[in-house]
Amino acid sequence: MENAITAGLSKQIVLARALETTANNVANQTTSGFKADHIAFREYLAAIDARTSGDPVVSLVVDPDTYTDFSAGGLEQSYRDLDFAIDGDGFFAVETASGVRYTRDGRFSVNAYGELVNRSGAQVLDAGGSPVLIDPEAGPVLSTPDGKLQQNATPIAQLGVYKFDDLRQLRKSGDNLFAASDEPVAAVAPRVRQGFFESSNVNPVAAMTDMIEVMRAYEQAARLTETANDLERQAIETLGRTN
Amino acid sequence: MQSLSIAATGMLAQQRNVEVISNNIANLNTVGYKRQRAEFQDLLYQTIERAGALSSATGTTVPNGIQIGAGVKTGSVYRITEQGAVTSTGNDFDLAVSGRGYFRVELPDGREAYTRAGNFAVSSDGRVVTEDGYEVLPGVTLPEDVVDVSISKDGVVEARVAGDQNLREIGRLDLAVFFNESGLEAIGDNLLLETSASGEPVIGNPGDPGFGQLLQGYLENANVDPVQEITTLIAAQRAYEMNARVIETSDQMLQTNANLRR
Repeated sequence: MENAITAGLSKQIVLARALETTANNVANQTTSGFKADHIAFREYLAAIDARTSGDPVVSLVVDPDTYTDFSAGGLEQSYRDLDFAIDGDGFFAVETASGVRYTRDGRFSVNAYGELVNRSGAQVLDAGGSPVLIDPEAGPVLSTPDGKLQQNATPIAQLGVYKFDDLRQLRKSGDNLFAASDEPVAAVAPRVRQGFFESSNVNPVAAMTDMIEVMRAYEQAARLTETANDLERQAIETLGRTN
Repeated sequence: MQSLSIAATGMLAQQRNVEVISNNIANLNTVGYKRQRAEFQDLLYQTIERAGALSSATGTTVPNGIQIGAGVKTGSVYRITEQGAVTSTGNDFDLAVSGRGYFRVELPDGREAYTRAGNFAVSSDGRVVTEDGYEVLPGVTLPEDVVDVSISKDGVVEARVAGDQNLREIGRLDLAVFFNESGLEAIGDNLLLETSASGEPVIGNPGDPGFGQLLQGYLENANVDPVQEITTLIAAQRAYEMNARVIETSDQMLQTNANLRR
């Protein structure tokens, strides 16, 4: 009888976590360069009786994985010179205090030293891995479609766009950044759009339907627990009668 | 249930978004106003199971791991300093900067402030001042009996007094530029202050390389695009509603738990 309650409980724990993931997606639906997370469920078979290996088993549900959907978000036009969006695969690289991080959020600005930085003040790196320097007196920064920055028709830097073979090794570290364990390669001819930024790839409608599903499934699991509990009580009442 | 607080961060962010949009719309007709944009970043992630952790005795590893985000925060409210359109006013002391640069203004406490709003006037003692009566630096004083004032593209102020045929130079206005204009701190009244993020001002004459030109008889409008603001407003409202729905769902799930034992 406890098996039904355990199975129901395992489902509820997983669903609560699924809702947290959806909540984070919904909260970040206007965060530039944000990539939605999803949770993967898996069946976990536990032996009912430890003494008998193999059958019979109880089926529990566990959530070994959250995975990030790396599909591109929409491009939003901002007309700002220092807003960049990557058209296609790849990430911008920034130098933070804790090492190089990767991002799809290309809303940059210039700091007091003339370096191109992201919103947290981390230096944006060029294709060779060094900071991009901008001369404030040399006029507006123009980007060619492959990310070569120019001022007054003089090339100043190639904006670094880095690609990974395996995106699954990227970890979110907050501030729209990803930490990588693999070394990326600089893309040869990236497609960079100036005056645009990438919006979040969260699909709000899908998030809403996910949420309704989670809630219904949660109620079902609770009903299962309730039924199992009722059965147990009846059993105790019936079997416990002495006459 | 953490989803309650995650959704709350989402509602807070959208509230901030609406505040920024409403300030932009309220300043639609403010001379020299630069629109702002609320920009968001995701919060910390809680790693429940690390990717690469062993998942069996034979050495298989977890490919993805579990990361649960804690919501969203407002990373910055960014001032977009693109040029606003200019409107002709015909007033001699209305100046617009076409290009980079800020007028320098002396505050009553002696500090220097910077502004794009060039709707100047003349004080009772003949000095060129802002709308609030603060002196425009480096300071230009008009002679008495002035009948005509001309300010050139490169900032030279010339005046003609009664009984004189010629314009005579009486001073020159300059401009200040910054490495990072968006790092300036707004203090209201169209004024901005230098910060460590903006960098030190570089002062130069209008028309020099890297500096804008002055247009006499024109004012720079706010660079707010009402259509863009309204569409952002609609998106913000929808996002707010969806975050509220997440809270509702979390609440219903908690209620389900509470009703388990009847």
